[in-house]
Amino acid sequence: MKPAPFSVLEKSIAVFTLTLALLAVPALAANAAQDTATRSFEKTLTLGANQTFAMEHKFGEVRIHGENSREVKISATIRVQATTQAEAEHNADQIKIEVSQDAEGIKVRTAYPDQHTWYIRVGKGPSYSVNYDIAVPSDAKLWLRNNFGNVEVRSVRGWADIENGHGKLELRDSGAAKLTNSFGEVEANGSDGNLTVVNNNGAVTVSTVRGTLDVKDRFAAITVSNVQGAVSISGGNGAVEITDAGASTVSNSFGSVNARNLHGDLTVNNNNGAIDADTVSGSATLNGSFGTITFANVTGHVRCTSSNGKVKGGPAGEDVYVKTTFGEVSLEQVGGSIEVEDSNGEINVKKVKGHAKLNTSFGAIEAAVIGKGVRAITGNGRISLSDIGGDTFAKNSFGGVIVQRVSGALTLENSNGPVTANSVSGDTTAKTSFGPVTLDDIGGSISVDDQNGAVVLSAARQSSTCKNITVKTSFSPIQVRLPESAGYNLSARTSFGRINSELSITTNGPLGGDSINGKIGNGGCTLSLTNSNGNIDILKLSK
Amino acid sequence: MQITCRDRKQIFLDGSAEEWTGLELHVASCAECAEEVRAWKALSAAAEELRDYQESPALWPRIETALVQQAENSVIGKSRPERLAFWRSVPMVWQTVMAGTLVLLMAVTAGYLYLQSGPGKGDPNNPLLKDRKLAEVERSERDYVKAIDKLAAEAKPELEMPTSPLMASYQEKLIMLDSAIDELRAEAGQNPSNAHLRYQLLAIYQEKKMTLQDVLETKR
Repeated sequence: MKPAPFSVLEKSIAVFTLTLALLAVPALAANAAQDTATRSFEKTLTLGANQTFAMEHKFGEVRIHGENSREVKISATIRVQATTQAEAEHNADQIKIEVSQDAEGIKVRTAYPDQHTWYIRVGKGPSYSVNYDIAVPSDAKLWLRNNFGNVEVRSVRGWADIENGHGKLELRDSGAAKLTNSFGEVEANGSDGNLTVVNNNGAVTVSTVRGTLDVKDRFAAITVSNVQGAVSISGGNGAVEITDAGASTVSNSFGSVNARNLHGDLTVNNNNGAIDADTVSGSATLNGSFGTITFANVTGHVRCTSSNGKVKGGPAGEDVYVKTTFGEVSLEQVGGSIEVEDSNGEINVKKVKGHAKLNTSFGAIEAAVIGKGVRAITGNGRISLSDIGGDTFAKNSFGGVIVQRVSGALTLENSNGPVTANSVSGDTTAKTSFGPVTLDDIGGSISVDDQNGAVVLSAARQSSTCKNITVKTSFSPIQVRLPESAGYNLSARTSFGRINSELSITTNGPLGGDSINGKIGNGGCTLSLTNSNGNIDILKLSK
Repeated sequence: MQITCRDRKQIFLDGSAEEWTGLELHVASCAECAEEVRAWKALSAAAEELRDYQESPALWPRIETALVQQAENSVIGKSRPERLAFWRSVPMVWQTVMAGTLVLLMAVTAGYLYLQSGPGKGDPNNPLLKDRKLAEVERSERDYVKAIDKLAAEAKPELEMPTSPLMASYQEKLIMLDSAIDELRAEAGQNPSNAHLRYQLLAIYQEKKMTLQDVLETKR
């Protein structure tokens, strides 16, 4: 006879039983290896003045705090986890905390049994950890070596030498200290003395140091703030940030450097990372590559060298020197002179009290409001200068030159590009080819040497005295506007062109042909206009 | 006794000795019946040879014992379908309710067992990992190792012959991380459930993975 089918309830019972079994087996198995033994250790000793508390430990946390007492109170918690309670307790008993005292001070050492003699076993052996909480006199000297655990030290103001590994190292309210760590963060806050931090592959954060600060780190960020003394930072592969510190020296690579509010000089050497300096009450030396250099509010002089990086700065109180390649240079509000050496980068400077020496190639130059003259040289880029307070020199090729409002002499050299200048108080010399020359409102003498380019010029409108004018070009017209009251000794010559004058010319000797010599007004200044294959026009200057 | 051909079939079935004697006399003078009687005798002899039945002397006692036992079973207990047969008389609604109750009980029990064995009941400040948590950490470590192996194979050409300062820097960092991994693994082998060791090892694995990803990103 065929058995009857299972009912819903029967099926439920079967599933329930099976599930319970499946759940219980791993749970019971898990619990089988989880017996933990905990043992406490307490000891109190007295530490003399100028004595050292020394400690060697690993596999656990260490908390040390300074107290207003001469006592050293050691509290430790030993934990062991093993397969059975008996095994855990046995192993906990094997871990010794050795405490000794001599004339130098107190020494504490955690002694773990030789791990190879614990048991011959299949599977995992016991696991263990020892955590410390230690009170020491607040003036105690501290010597600590730890590994595989975090270290926290508070309010211990004696000299401290702390080394840790594979754990966080935290120091608060300390005296002078040397902190060494690897593969763990270092955080120091409130140090009365000098502080030295050496870390490897762990971030460093330091704040409020009354003395000097020396930080060395690799492969992690460094953040420093509120340091009264000098700061020296050597980093790599991580960002560096300094705020409110004394004179600072930073060396870094493959990470940015950011410095704020420094009361002293700043020196930064950074490769493959940006540099940003703001509010430096000394001078700033910023050297970088493949990263932008930015500075602002530097009281002293600034010196930037870079390659393949942009430089942007200002205000600066004193001279600024910038040397870079393949990067734009932009400077503003400089209290001294500036010198920029760039290649393949644009230069833009504004509001410079001193002289500006600007040199680039394959990039434009723009300078405005320069107090003591400009010397601008580029090739294959436009030059634009305005409101220059001294002698000005601009040299270009394959690009235009525009100069406005110069209080001083002006010399323009160009080839294959136009030259334009207006409102120049001093003597003006322009030389170019294959480009027009336009000079307007020139107060000093004018000398133009052009080829294949038109020359249009006018003397100063407000001047009552004449200045020598010499113009030479070819295959293009010459147009000269002169005040009616001024007198010139005219010598104009052209070929295949005509000579026309709105001003009266007094002449004698043979007339006609392609030249004319005579006087305008009563004569006086030289007006020499030489052309070939182009007209010459002498026009009245409208006021 | 007078026997004719018509009588022979009856004699084959249940003929008496006299009838068989009469048939034998008739066969002597009847060729048709003689042939049929001869075939019948041959068939009977063959059938006799095939029969081999011997009655076991224990057969009946066994049958008797079995009958007695069956009678007892019918009083003390019943077979599985019969034992649970009364549930079938329970209405389907109640069967469903009871099944639901069992499922609920199962869920509560499972949850209890999970909490008992899981990290939830453990001390969060305990520096030693329970086995369940340790298994999770080890699983995560294995995942990282797999990912790292894959990334390292891709980045190998760049790291073996670094062509830029940045790549040389990555190479240096990876060597340093490998050193830290070796150190931590050795310590974790001796102190397997130490939480700080295991989490530190995980962190270094994570950093190595990210560094290798940076290498490949730089390569692109």
